[in-house]
Formats: sequence, structure tokens, C-alpha cells
Amino acid sequence: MYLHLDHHSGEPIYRQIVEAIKYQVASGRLAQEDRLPSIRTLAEELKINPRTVVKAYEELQHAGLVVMRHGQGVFVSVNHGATPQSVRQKAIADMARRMLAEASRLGAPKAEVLRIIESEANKMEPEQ
Amino acid sequence: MSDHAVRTVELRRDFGTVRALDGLSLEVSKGTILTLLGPNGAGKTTLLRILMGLIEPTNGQAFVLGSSARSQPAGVAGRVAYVGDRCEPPDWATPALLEGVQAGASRSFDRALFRECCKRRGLSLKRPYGALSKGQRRWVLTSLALACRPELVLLDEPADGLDPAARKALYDALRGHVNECEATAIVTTHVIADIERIADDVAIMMAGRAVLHGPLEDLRDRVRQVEMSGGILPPELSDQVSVLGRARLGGASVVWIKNNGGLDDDGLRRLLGPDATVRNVGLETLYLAIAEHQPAALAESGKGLE
Amino acid sequence: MPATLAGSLGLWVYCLAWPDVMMARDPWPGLIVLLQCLLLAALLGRFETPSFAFLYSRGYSRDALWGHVMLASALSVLAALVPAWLIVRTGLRSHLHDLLQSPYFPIMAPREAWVPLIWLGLYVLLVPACHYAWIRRAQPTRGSQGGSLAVVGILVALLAGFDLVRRLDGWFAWLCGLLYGAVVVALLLGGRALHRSLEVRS
Repeated sequence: MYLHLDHHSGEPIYRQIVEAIKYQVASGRLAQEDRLPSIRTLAEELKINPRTVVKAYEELQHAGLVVMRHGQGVFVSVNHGATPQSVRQKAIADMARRMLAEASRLGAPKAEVLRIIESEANKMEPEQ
Repeated sequence: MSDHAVRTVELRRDFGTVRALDGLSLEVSKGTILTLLGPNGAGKTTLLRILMGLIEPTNGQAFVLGSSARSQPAGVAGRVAYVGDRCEPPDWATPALLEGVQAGASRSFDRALFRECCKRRGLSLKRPYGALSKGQRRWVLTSLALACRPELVLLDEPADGLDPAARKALYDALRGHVNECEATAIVTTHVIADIERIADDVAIMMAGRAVLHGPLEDLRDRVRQVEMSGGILPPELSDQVSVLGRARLGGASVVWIKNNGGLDDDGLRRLLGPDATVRNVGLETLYLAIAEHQPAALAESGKGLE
Repeated sequence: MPATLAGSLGLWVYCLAWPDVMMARDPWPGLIVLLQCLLLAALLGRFETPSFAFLYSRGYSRDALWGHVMLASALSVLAALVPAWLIVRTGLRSHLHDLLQSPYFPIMAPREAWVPLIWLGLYVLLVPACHYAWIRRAQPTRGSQGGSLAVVGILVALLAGFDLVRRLDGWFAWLCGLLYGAVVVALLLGGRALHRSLEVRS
């Protein structure tokens, strides 16, 4: 599994893994019951400490995205009544929240932000 | 004591009037790669030499793999590998000879692995050590060390003189070894970007003391760079964070802080107000913050930031 | 593998510790023996060089390294002594002197047969002594001069004792012999113990 990690950004590696896997689930690249690499394998591929992988998997399990089955491995298991769509929506909501916070720091009123989003979305429409 | 691969207690070492180590207390758990950073003369090399049993501390104690670092019984000595500055074989020695010497010391020395490492860099076993370039020498010595499959690896600037590809290969090999055998490694280096990829713990040493010591992931979680116009942190914040360094850059105040409490980024931003920018920092920035901009008071009192 | 190690140590010693092979009259061999012992101690005790630091950092236990040093010394001594002894024993010396028309010729061989043994005795005493003194010098905490002085003192006393032995015999000779043995063993053990806490700086 290829996960792009940035070791120099100051962002904890375990969180980068969590975000990356969340993204893959949200985008459908990882489907329900897909098997994630074992802790050892992922640590070897990414050249990181296995404990970091454990931390990432535990957080994903806590967030209700994967389940660690003893003796079998780690599987994508979007539960708590969630679906890949709702995971996607949550990811987009996170992005929106960050953008809105940044926009408010720039001093932009809510109406302006919404207007800009609308116009950008309209520009993108023909490609979709 | 047995679950720490390395443990020092109030370690002190003087060289005449120069105090190289000043009450250093450090613990490294098994299966960890600790990177030791600090300016030249901070005591990093001295620490490694004490751990290897080459020199003895003036005061305090050091333990490696459960036994005292000074009187390592034969079994322990063979499980610790060391690559250091000015600890080099004579110029006429060939890698083949070094292979023999190392094999006599460590039961778990893997000759085939060592030979393969040399071959990978295009180094002949018969060519004398003196004919190799600095980077090649480092490569031979490090291969020699890693081929023993040691439980504890002490590397003093192993990447010195190596090109980026070789550095990556070296550190990847180290990471692989540590992961596989649950070994422990302490690496000293000045090239921070490379070690940032594989380090688990970080210790920054200054004037013989550990000024900062902790897991790298923890530092990534807690350390933030704050840019603001004034230089003062709001009082509610000051007791929840430690200030690692301050600077005035380009008219703005930059403060590097370490979050000691349970404050998350949103809470931090809220307390600082809309004018402040909060960023994550990489290890090199963190190091520079401490090395160049550490508040003088902190440096004087020598209080560690744990 | 240990042989390789001993071999490399021995090599260093060999190149520079000129062993004595030719014969000479009484005082000279003593000096040559002393010289070789001093050189052995000095060369094998270069704890300040990077090469030695390297050797000490390979993971050998201190005692193993000390053992190799002693082995290398023993080899060097043998290399010097055995040919010398053979030269006397096989009559080569006698023949040589015969050619040189020395007047002492007929009596030399039997008389001198035991001379190399004296040298051996000297070696056995001096090698541990020099090593001990040298190791003590490199000790970080002890007074560096104390060791050398003590060793010199003991040596002088023992040499004086040797002189006495030649005149007296019986139980006194045995006593000196025992004392000699005890001193040698003490120097060896002391050297090894000090070696354990030796500092290797470069």
C-alpha cells in the first residue's frame, strides 16, 4: 500500500497514516472488508517504527473505520451505522472547517466565502 | 532496569577543567532509535564512548543492556556495536582482515551480510582501508557494525561524507534492523533531515545536558511555531506551555512552544487570537529554535524541558 | 579469528621490537631484554591511537584483549629467544668463535648453555612488569608515576636478590624462586585488573 508520508512537515506520522487511510476509504479506494497491510509489513514498507503503525490502526479502530481481528489482521469495517459516503462527507466537512477558519482569519464574512465557493464549483462543473 | 536498553544516571565526565557531561540522566527503551543532536562539544561523542566502555565517567552511572557500561562481560560486549570518530583501523587493514577481527568478537557476525554490503557499494575486500574515501570508510565500519546484528548500535555521525543515496540506504538498513530484532540505536548526526525519517526519540544536548528529550511523534504533536505581532503569550497559555525559543524575524515575533497540557490546536488558536499563526515544525526548525533562540534563562538554569 | 587478531598485534610488535639474536657478554643481553620488554609494553599499549580505539570498540571483552596482548608478547619473546638458544645449543656459536680464533673456544659451549635460560627468566619478569607499568600510566585515576616507581623498585630488589642467590644456596634460593614467581603472578594479575578499567581515548 502506498501512503505518502511527509517526515519533515511536523505532522505526526501516525496521524498522516490515519488521514491517508480515511481518505482512501472516503474515496472508495478501500472498500468494506478490505484487508489492510499487517503492522509489520506496513512498518517495513514505510520504514517506520511498528509502534507508530499500531497507534495509527488503534486510532482508526477508535474512529470506527477499521477493526483489528485477532489472528486474522486489520480490516476496513466502517461501522456505527456509517457508510463510505458518510466518511466522505466527514472528510469534506473537516476540509471545510479548516478553510472557514482560515477565511475568518483573513477577515472574510460568511456570505463572501459562500459566494466564492459557489462560483468555483460552477467553474468546475463542466469537467464533472 | 531490564527493559531499558540504555540508562544513565547523573552522568558526569570532566576532561581536566572541561566538563563534557553534566549530570545527564537518560533512558532509552528497546526497539527505539534515538537521535542525539547538539552542537559540537555538547558531549554526544563522550556519552557514546562511555556507553561503549572506552572511557569512564567521573561521576554517575551508565548501564547498557542491563549491565554496567564499564565492566561489560564478554556476552554483553559482543552485542553492542559502535562506529565512532577517530576509532578507525590502521590504513593497511583490509576489509577482509576487519571481517576476521569482528568475527572473533561477535558470535552473531554475519560474514555474508558484510560482504554483500561491501559489494553493493563496489568495495573490494582486499583493498586497504587507507585507500578508501571518507564515505566509503564510514560505510565499511557501519556495515561491520550492523552485520553483527547487535542489540545496541551506537553510531557517531555515521552518514558523514556519504551521498544522499548512501545515507538513505544506511538509515533504511538501520531501521530495518531495529524493526526486525527489536534492537536499539543511538545515532549522532548533524544532517537532521535524513534522521528525521527514521528517528523514534530525540534528545538535544547542550553543554553536557539533555535540554530536550522525548519521542519525535510527541514533539510533532506538541511543538508549534507561533507567529504574532506582540511577543507576549496570553497568561492562560503561559502555564500550559513551555517556551522553547523566541526570535524576532522580519518584524514579527516568533515563539516556539511546547504544549504540555491537553490543549489542542483549535484551543491554542482560540487563546492566541486571530492575529497569530500557528504552524507545525519539522525537526530541523525545532533544533534551530533551541540552538539559536533558546531563552537565555533556560540555558543558564539548565532545566530540561521534558 | 583470535589468531588473526594476535597476528595483527604481533605484527606491530615485530616490526619495531628488534629481538636480540646475536650473542654477547653478560651485561648487554640484560639491556637488550629490557629494551625489548619496554618496546613491547609501549607498542602494545598505545591506547591513545585511533587504531587501538578501534580494536577496543569491536566488542571484545577487556580480558580477551589483555589475553591477546600477553600472547603477542609471549610470541615476540619466543621469537627472540628460541633462535638465540638454538644458536648456543647447537654449537653454532662455538663454531663461529672457533673461526674467529677466540681463545675461549673449547670451554664456551657447556658454560653458556644456561645463559639463555637466565634471559628467559628476565623476560618472564620484565614483560609483565613493563606492561603493568604502562597500563598503570594510562590509568585515568591512579597516579601515573607510582606504578613505574613501584615496578622499578621491585625489579631492583629482585635483581639484587639474584646476585645473592648465586652465592647462597639451599632453602634461601628456593625462597627467592618463590618470591620471583609470586611477583610475576602479582604483576600479571594486577595488570589484567587495571586493564579492565583502562580508558581508551583518541
